[in-house]
Amino acid sequence: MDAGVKRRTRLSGIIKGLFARRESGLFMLLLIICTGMSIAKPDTFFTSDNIFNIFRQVSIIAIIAVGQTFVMISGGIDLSIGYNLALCGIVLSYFIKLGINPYAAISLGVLTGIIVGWLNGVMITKLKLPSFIVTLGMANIARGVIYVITKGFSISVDHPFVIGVGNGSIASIPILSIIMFIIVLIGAYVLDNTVFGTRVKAIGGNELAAKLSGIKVNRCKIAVYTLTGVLAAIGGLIIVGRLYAGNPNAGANFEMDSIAATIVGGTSLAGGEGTILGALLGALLLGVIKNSLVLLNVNMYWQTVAVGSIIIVVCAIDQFTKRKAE
Amino acid sequence: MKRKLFFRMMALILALVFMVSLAGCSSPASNAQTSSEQNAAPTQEVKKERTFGIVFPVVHPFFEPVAATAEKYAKEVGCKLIIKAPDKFDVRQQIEILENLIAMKVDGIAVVPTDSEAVAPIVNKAIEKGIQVIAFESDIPKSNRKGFMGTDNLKAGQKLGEEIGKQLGGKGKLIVCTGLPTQLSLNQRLDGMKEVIKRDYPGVEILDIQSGQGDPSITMSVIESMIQAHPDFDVFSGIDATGGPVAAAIWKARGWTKNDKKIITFDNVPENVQGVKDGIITSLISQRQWTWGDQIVKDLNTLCDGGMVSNYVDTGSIVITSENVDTYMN
Repeated sequence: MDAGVKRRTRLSGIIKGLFARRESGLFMLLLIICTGMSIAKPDTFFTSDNIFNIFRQVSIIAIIAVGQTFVMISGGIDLSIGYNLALCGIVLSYFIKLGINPYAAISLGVLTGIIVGWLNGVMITKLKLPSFIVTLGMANIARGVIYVITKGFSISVDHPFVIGVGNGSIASIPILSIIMFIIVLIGAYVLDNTVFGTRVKAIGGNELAAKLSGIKVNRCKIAVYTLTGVLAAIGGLIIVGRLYAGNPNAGANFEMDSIAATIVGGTSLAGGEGTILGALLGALLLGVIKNSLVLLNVNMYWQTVAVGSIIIVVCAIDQFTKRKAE
Repeated sequence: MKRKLFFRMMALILALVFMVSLAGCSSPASNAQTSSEQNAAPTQEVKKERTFGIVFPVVHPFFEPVAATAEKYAKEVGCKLIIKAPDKFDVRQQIEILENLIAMKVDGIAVVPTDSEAVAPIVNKAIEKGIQVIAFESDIPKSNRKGFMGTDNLKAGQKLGEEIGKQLGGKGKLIVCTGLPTQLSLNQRLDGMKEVIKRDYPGVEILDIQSGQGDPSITMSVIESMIQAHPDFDVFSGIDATGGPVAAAIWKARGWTKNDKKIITFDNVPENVQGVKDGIITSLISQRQWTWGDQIVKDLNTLCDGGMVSNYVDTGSIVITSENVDTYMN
């Protein structure tokens, strides 16, 4: 009985969370664009092919945006996530090519992500450096190591498990999108329903107060960056599968895309607030817009302008409604 | 105690990073150094051993054949090479590299400008200091560089258009993905291709031209969306070195071969060459950059001896198909 009530309140909490103001606004915007596109391009937009296309394209960004959301809620930023992702992909491709057990190679790739994330966390907390500086430095280190390993060449990979993760599907749903949904669900649960999530929010809201209330701030922050490293490694595995190769340039724009998705999703740059669902919707919105611009044959020079404008407009509307509510 | 341990750990990490970066920086240059020292004495006993700098615009596999052939030739004639490249398309980094080479008083420099306007003044400064400078791949028209070798990209683009028209038998539909819209060479290739198709193959229709910004993930999204928007296309064409490998991956994921939809694209990067061998890519248009390495060292030596070199050399481009994929470099 007790458990049933608890479950029901939790369920209603999740449903309430689904329709919180920012997310529902984003959801509406997404719906409007999709409806508009279905009318404008009935043959090509709202087809299962294209919908799965979009999900495939946003999956990696959504996965690392989960990590970025945790980092930004804790009051930091992770600029190394893109090159960390690429580095993990290169490491696992390199070791697969060397001929060691492919699953061991994949584990080494994941370990790389964990180490990079952990080092970020340790340097930010123990050296008391701003996350911006540490992760910027780490991004450069990761990029450098990538070039040391590859000299700029891609490393081709044909292991069926890796390729399956990137290109396979179960009941015609792309596997990488299933991975994305699982990670989003776990991330949302951890952030909103666990002590760890509450602590991360408390640290981002007021670090000193969090410390005084007995939260082990350093340990918590290191955990957040390490978690982000794990997600980067998963992203790295997927991109290798997608490209059939570890590509040294694969991570170049991911950190900015993940930050854009997170911010559009309503996470405050100052920390303390934000949701995983918002980050997913942010990634989806940007993905749908990019897809639509290609389907609509928009000139390539204008697409970048459009994406940039959308980021500013969505955030401006959010600020406006917030001020009005106050 | 804990603190001590932490500092020790940090010191270890820093030392490791330092070592890795040292190893990374010095490898291409030091290879050339050791190899040339062995050969310098017998071949050129009177002249002082010359040092030349070769500067690429970015770390990229396209330039590896240039580095390899140049190092081999330099070894034969007995001179030292310092090969450098910024780790991303960054004109500031490239200018720093050039400044360092000038400070090292090298005898000659061959450079691919990341931005020919911005690099021109530093090239002139080097020439004022008595250093011989030539450009390759992309020219630096506003400088006093002594010579240029590279591909006429307009002509290479025309060759691409020609190949597309021929492979389609003069009739079909085309989608195109290019790289960074700021790269002059890519825009010239696009112009060349469009010109030939418009003039000689009116039956070929260009459905869409998009940009993948030279980034594999963006390129993948763009190509997939274009396939979605135009399912009736016949040929995909990539203008930069990223389009071909990404398209080949998409083809593999869909189980397509060149008999389903054609890929006719640029550059002989390994994935593209493999794609031709695997029957996924129909044809490649490639610059002949493997001929540049020898010529760079020859030209710089000639200039240092007081001779002249050609002001402009078009080294041409070739079409690679399954027929000549193993022999095209001969």
